[in-house]
Parts: sequence; structure tokens; C-alpha cells
Amino acid sequence: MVLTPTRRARLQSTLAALGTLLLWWHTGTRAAAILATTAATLTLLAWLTPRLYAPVHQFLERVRHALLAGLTWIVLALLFVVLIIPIRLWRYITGTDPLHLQPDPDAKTFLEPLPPPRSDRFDRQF
Amino acid sequence: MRILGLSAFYHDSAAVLLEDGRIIAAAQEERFSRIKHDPAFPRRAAAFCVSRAGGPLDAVVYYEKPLLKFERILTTSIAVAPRGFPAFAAALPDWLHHKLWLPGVIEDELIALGCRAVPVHFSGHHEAHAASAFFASPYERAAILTLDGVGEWTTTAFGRGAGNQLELLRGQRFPHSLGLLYSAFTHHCGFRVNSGEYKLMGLAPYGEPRYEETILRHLINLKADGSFRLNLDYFGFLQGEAMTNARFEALFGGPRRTPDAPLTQLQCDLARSIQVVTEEIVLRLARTLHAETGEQNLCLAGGVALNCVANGRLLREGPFQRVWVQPAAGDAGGALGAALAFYHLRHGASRTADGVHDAMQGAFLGSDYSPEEMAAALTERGLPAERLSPDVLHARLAERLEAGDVVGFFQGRAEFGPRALGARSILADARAPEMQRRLNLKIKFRESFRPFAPIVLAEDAAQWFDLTSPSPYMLFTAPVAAAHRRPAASTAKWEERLSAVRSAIPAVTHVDFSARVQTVDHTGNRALHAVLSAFAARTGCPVLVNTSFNVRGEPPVCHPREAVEGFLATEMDALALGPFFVEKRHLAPGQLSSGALPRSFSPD
Amino acid sequence: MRALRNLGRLLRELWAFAREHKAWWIIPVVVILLAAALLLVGVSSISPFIYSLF
Repeated sequence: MVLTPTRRARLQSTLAALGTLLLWWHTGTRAAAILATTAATLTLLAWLTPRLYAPVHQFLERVRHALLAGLTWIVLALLFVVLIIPIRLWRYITGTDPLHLQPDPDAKTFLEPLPPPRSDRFDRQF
Repeated sequence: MRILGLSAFYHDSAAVLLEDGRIIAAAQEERFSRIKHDPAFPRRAAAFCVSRAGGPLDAVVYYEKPLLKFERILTTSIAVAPRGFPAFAAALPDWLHHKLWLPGVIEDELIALGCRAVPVHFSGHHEAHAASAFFASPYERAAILTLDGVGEWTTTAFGRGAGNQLELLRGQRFPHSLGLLYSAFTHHCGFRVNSGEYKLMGLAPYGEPRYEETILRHLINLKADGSFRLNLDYFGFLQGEAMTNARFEALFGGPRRTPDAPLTQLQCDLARSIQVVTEEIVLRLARTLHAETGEQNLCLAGGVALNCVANGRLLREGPFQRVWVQPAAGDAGGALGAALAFYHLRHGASRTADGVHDAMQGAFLGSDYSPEEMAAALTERGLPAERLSPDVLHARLAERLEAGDVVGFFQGRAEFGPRALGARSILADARAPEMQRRLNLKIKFRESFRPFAPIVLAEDAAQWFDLTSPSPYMLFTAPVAAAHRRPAASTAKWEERLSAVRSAIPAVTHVDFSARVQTVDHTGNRALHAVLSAFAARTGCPVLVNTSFNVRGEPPVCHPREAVEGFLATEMDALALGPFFVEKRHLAPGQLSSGALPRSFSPD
Repeated sequence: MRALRNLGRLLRELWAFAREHKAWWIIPVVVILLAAALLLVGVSSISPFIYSLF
């Protein structure tokens, strides 16, 4: 089922209000109370006048997008640091140069034989 | 057997339908989506191909090996770490979410098109290029040379084809690539990589090869056999930053030209230098390949094979008697090559070649439209049009061209490949001294240094150009014949050399007297041959300007509606849309408005 | 179900590739990357946002 923007906004705001109310009930702190009241007010707005709530929804969407983008960057950076850089170090230590970046002035040719074709090659992704 | 060949997800997505070895349909996605070099899955191109099929598909073949390519991307990230995070981060999400799951992605797309699920196969990138070059060529046997930026790992490959067999012999590997070297200079001169290479080639004759030695000494280690290694200290593409880096800029006298800055002699000299180096590499590789295979014919494909100046030298000075270049030499042609490779090499189908005719059918393999659809496109814009018989239309066109009119020529099936060959073309009189300038500024909205290509009656080609063999796909340059040249003063400033009249056909004569010739015979494109013949009968000149029917920033027109829009949005004088003929001079002012917003262009 | 079949095909081909090319390093790398991609499933829509930065 595809939700219309208005319905999605109502659903999201309602869930947020329920969540923050739960948090308030569970912790009883002043901050949670403020959060829950704000969420409940916004939910009321979403249900009563979706047009007035639309800018709020847009803003929240942008925040969500930015957070997800940030998360992606963090994960990509982590992958780079824990996966790519260590293999680079290992290759540096073992002197592996798969891209032939080091100069080889004495070579007669840089053409390499290509592997003979396998009969099942069209069935494989490599 | 029906095979759908696909190229997608990098640049110039395309689909091709092969039915029992015959090319039934071939189209690039950009023609339908109107996005230049569209890299998306070719949904509309595939839908067009499937609509031409005589029955259900038997196989789908993708033009690359995704796992090999992913290994290359990971290996590159590892090799340049801890730098190279931008390239890693830009590539990875798309690979993890889509490109590693290609069999599923392609199956889903086919089901969405209404096809039953068929097995998805994969050919190698250079095997596809080689197959598009050899299996579509007129030759029974030939040597094969593929040259491009990069596919999986290979950037250059030697091969040999005989009958229905093809083998790749030796190759050069990424990142040592002639295509990427040329693109680095394209980028440095302020043009767009993967589309501005033509501009660099067009700029080269204005310059001197002042940097040839610098390139050979610092950028590449070139061997006698034509193989080479790049010195990656001068390039940034491995790190994903840019094609070139600060050391490259320091070596070539300053920062990269910004796309909207004026061109100077420096860019001309850089263009000439890299062009000379490219030609030298291509010639050396061809000599090595000739010695290795002993073949007399050569088939070329890969993006670098679109360098028609290098092709022209190869034809004149190279060791091969005959050279055939796949007209869709870039990645779009990979879709064709993948299908052909699968058909002959996996399916074992036989192949016949008569030594004269190729399998490309003039490259007129794209979409066509009925007169009713054309009439509707004209009516939509309120344009009155005459419906003429072919003879009358061709005579009228010749008359208007002689009068100096610029004519949109939309006839038959669209071309497959980057060049307009007379199906979606703009025609004009090549003899008019002001024509090049007028076409550039008022029709194409682009820089004025770029030369136009001539079309010439095949039977008269030798009288006008020093061309030793037919060139039906505009893939070879040849000098204008001495009898038609005019002495022109060579001044120091390249801008001043633009306007000099160098020949009897100045609109298509470059400053070095070269021309990017397309020969037109009566079997390849009858309508165009008839127009040229009628024009020659009136003027004694069997040559016209032929440039693609598009406006800047857009791919060539596909649908008649786009042709009508292009006609109205530019200062084109007349439009031959199938059998219909419209002239602007007969239109009321109210009918002339295109309704389009004022045009603005991002640099391309 | 289809996703599992596609994953199976990918892993099978990856294994064959690693064995043939003696590129064993690629298996753990791709497995970890795929696991990370699972974490990022919810953010697949931001890919265009990332590309626009380059």
C-alpha cells in the first residue's frame, strides 16, 4: 500500500507522539514532558490542518535525510579504515603492485597475454 | 534465435536485438530519454527493440563482467589508500545496492517490459567491442584492435577473427589506458570527459605539438610496440578527485581551463600534442598487431576508435590494406558486440562475409515513425506542410540548399551510434563561406572552432577528397583534394585562421585542409543520395554539410515532435520530415514561436 | 526468496572467481561490504544525494 504524503505525515507524527509519551511515562523527566507535549501538539496539527503541518513535515524529512546521509558517510568511512587501509598496508609490506604503478623502464612490452576463453564464460559474471 | 544485447549503468546505455544473426533493432537510451549519454538501464531502448522482435526472446547478454569490474574498483581503492576515499564512497553504494545484483535487476526490467524470464548472460567488455568490430564487419578474417577508457581490467586488446571465431590475444591493463590519457587532456582543456573528446580533436589542427616531448618524457613510458604505462603521479582519476592533478597542471603551464573561459593557443597546442601522441600509439599498435597476426584487414572498436583523425592516418599510413571501424565504437556498441559474441561464440552460429558489405545496414537501426505520426507532430504545432513525392521533395531540397537554406532532414530509421548519418541530420551548402559560422552560432549554439563533416556522393568522393576507400560512417578524415583547395594565409592567431576560406567547400574544410568525410552510396541511404545527386546536378558540387539534428545540450532528435521543436527553436530554414516539407519563409509570425523558454546551456 | 537465490548466485560466483584468480581476499571483503549494505538498506534512497557531492 502506498501512503499519500498527508497520511504518511499523520502516521509518522502519531508514532512520534506515542513514542515520546511512552518515554515521558517511563522516565518522568521534564525534558521528556516537553518533547511529548511538542510531539502531541504537532500530531494534532497534522490531523486537523495538514496544510499547516506540511512545512514541519518537510523540515523533519530533511533532518531525517541528513541523518541517514551522515550515517552512510560514517559507515563508508569505517569500511575504508578497517577494511581497505589494512589490506593496503599488507600489500605495501609484501610489495604487491597490481596496478603496476611502479615504473618499469627496462620492460620490452607492457602487453600481457589474455587468458584463453572458457566455454562457459557467458554464464559467469567474471 | 533472438538475443537482446544490453549496455548500461556507465555511459551510453543501449539495447540491440539480434534475430538469427541479423541486427533487427539497435538504439541508445539517450534518444528516448533525451538525457545525453544516459547511463540508466535502457528501458525505452529495450522496449523499442522488443517491439521489433518476431517472437519471444531466447537470451539476454550484458556487455560486461560485473564481478571483474568490482574487483578492479576494490583493487584500485586498496592501491591508492589512504587516499581515494571519494572514489570509494562514490562507487560503493551503487555497487552494493544494484550493480552486484545485475541478473536480478535485468530480470525485473524484462518482466516489467512484458517479456518472459530468460537467462541473463555476460560477455567481456573488450570481447564485446571486438565482436562488434569483427562480426559486423565485411571481412571473412581480420585482425582486431580495441581501444577505450576501461572496461573490467583491459584497456587495449589485440585479437584475431576468422569466420565465426574470434580470439583475444594480448592486452594492456588498467590504469594504463589511451582513452583515459586522452580524457585527461579533454578535462584539462575544460571539456567534459566522455563527450568533449571530439572537441579536443577538432581543436588540434589549430595548434602545434609543443608538448609532445613533455608527454612522452613525463606522462607515459611508450614502448616500440605501442604499449605504454602511464605515470600515475600526474593523474587524479584513481583517487576519484579529477582526471588530472596539480602536478599535471604544473607540467602544462597552468591550471585547467574552466568550461566557460575562452580558448587560447595553449589549449590548441595541448590538443595537437595529445592528438599526435595518440596517433603515434595507434600506429605502433597497428604495426605490432599486423606483424603478430599477418592479417590484411583490421577491425577497430572502443571509444578511441571514434578518433577519426587517427583512423585516417591508420588508413593512409598503417600496415593494413583495409580498415573497418564499428560505427557505434563506444559503449553503446558493446550491446551489439555482446549479442554477436554470444550468437557466434557460444551458440556456434555460422557467419558469412562477402568482403564488401558489412552487417550494420548503414547504422540505420533505430526507431522510425509513420507519415501519420509526422503529420500529427506538425499539426500539434499548427504548422502547414506540403506532402511531396520523393522526387519532388529531393529536387525542392536541392533548390533550397543551393539558395543557402539550412534544412532539417528527418528520414527513415534513426542512426545507431554517435554520428548523424543522414537520418536525423541538418544539411547545408558546404560552398557558402559563412555557413560554418552560421550553423555554429544560430543552429547548434556552440563554439565556432568546430568543423562540420561533409557528405559526398560515393562515386565522386575521389575527386573531392584524397580518400582511398569508402567512409560511410564518417569515421575517417581525409584531405580535401588539391584541385579544390585555395591558398590561405597562415596567420599566427588561431582565431584569425577560423574565417579563412581554404577550399571550394570552406564549411567542411578544417585549417589543415582535412575533412571528416561521409561517403553516400545509392544503396546505403537512397534519400540522401538522391538529394546529393539533385544538388550536384544544379551546382556541380556533390558535397553538402551534414551535422546532427540536435541543439546544444541535447541528444539528436528521435521523435518527429522533437524535430519540429528543434526546427522552431533554431534558425533552421526548412524541415523535411519524412514526405512533409515546411519552410519558415512561408510561415506566419505566430506559427514561428516554439513556445519554449529561452535557451540556456551548461558547458558541455 | 528471490533475494536469497540472487545472494546464492553471487556468493557461488564469488567463490569460483576467488578460486580461479587466487584472489581469496575478495571473499571477506565482499561479505563485510554486503553486511554493511544491509545496514544501509534504509538509506538506499540517499545514493543520489551522495553522488551529487562529486
